[in-house]
Amino acid sequence: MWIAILMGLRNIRRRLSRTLLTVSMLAFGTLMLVFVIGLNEGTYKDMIRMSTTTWNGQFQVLNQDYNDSPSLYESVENSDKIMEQLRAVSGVKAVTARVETAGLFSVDNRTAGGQLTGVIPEHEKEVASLVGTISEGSFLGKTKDPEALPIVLGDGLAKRLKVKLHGEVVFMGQGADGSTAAELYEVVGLIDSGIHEMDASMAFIRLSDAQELLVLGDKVHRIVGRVESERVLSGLDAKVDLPEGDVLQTWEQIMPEVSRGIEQDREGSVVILYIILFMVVLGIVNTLMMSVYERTREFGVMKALGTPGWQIILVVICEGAWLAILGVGLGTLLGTLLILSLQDVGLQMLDQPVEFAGMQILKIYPANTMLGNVTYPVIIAVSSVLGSIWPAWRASRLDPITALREF
Amino acid sequence: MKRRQLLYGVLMSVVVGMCVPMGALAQDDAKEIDIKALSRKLDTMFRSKTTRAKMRMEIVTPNYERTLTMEMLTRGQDDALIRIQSPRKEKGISTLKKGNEMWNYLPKVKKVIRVPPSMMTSSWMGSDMTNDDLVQNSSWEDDYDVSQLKDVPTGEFCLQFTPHEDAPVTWSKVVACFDAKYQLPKTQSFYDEKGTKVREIKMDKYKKVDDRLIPSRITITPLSKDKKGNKTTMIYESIAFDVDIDEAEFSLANLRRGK
Repeated sequence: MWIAILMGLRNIRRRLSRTLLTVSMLAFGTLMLVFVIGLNEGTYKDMIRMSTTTWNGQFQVLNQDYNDSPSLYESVENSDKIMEQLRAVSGVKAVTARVETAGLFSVDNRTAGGQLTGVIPEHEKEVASLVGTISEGSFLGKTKDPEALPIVLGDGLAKRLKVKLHGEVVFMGQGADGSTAAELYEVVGLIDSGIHEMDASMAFIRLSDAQELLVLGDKVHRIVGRVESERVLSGLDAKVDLPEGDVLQTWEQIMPEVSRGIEQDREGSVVILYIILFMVVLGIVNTLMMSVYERTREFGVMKALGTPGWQIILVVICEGAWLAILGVGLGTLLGTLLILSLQDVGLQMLDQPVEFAGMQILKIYPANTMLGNVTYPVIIAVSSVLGSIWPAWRASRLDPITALREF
Repeated sequence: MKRRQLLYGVLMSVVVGMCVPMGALAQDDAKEIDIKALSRKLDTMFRSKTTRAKMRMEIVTPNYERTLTMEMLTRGQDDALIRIQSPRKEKGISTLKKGNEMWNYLPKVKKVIRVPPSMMTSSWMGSDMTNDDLVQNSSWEDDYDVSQLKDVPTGEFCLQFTPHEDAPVTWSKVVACFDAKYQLPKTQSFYDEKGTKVREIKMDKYKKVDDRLIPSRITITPLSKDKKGNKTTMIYESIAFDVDIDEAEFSLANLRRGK
């Protein structure tokens, strides 16, 4: 066995230039695959990061019916206790609670429909990066009029209402007891998240103000949290004691469109693997075929000396294996290094930002992943070795007499 | 014997005499119902030059039950003012409708909110009545094609209203059934674009007010899945037609003052 491996190594050194050519082709193919997959996975990561960090969080606790049919009444009770439990879990970075309702915002004679969200400002800052996109004023900070209640508007909504900082806005909706919920607020901040739909319809007030306005007591609609890594999410629901009817959902369940989109795209990228696989295997088979034909006499001699067929097969496969290991190894190494060098600075590949689930993507930050840097290269290497079986089998089947007569 | 026969004869003639004209009347009703007049009745039943009414609204949902009392002033077909009188928390909340426009006054924040056209199909004060129902932008007489339905329960006749293409309504058709005797609406069934019945309105407790017969109780039951268990009942506690109402009552300035 060792002899076969060493012989393989010796043999590929005999025609160095051809070996180098084959290895570099393999390396280039693998590099391309690793890099393209890296770009894809990087984009996915970005999508997940953006869709979770801007607003939705990586997990939420909510009534099981709330996502399908949001209503004032599908609420979560004892939110303080649940949040306390969640914060105690190691790896949970931040937790906050929200109350949501729809209604009318009005300034003078202008009225616009929108979404009012009650938040805990100090915790919301740790969970939703949206809070950081305040373009004017503060996120539910001090009001000019000490009596007034603060509100933050999406800048699109503010524009629709033609209201400026410190202007007055009336909200009118419906409380949980069916009564008309109406309140006057002072605009203390404007948000420009860049997500058009949100900016045009969202407004934020303090959670306690919202609970009072909507006669909700201490009930909330969502508990939203962030974790240090995806791993913390699995089994998180078992670590908290949730009331009957409430569920803990991860971002994949909260935003099924994101995970589904990624899964579909990932399936589509398998085509790249197939193309590169085809190219690489053809190259290997070609190289080995040539090498076997060149050495017909050599194999003839080996056979004449009584070398069994399987040993000849082994020798040729080892040649292929060496080529594959060197080529794929080099390609993976280069690809990984390339991704490493680009993963923080990003790659400007698009002139126009691409919109995905309400998020804009302008730069791509490639990422190394198990799939792109290990699984796919291994598939290529293994396929290359399998591809070399054919030339090896041809070599083992040579008739020593005819073979020796060549040249 | 003779006397008894005579008695029979008298009785018979009385019975027959009573039956014949009634039968003839009933037949006339079935044959010649004035579709136009009935459509107009749906439009103007509660309207006059002016009206002043006291109403009670009982709202039942799976989550809450509540009762509102209010005063409603109307002028012609276009203008209406509703002021909530109880419960206390909502006392003074007013809705003004002028032509196709609508505003709410909120005494708590002392502000007037215009109700945009996009909100016309949403609920009024948490009831099963929409802003549109209240405002009645469409006219049964002018915005629908009307045809009489056959195969209806005895003592009723039913009209099917199909909206004109440009009519400001969201229904695909509305079937209204009338009490044949009183020529007053009994039920109205509303169908959405898919042809599913989504709402039913029942009108009963007919009452005579100023020579007019009107249904004094209106029950709205939404039939969509998300509104299961909801019901709104409106009861006219009193209504007076053609009363003197100050012009200013229907002005936006007056609404804004919270009067």
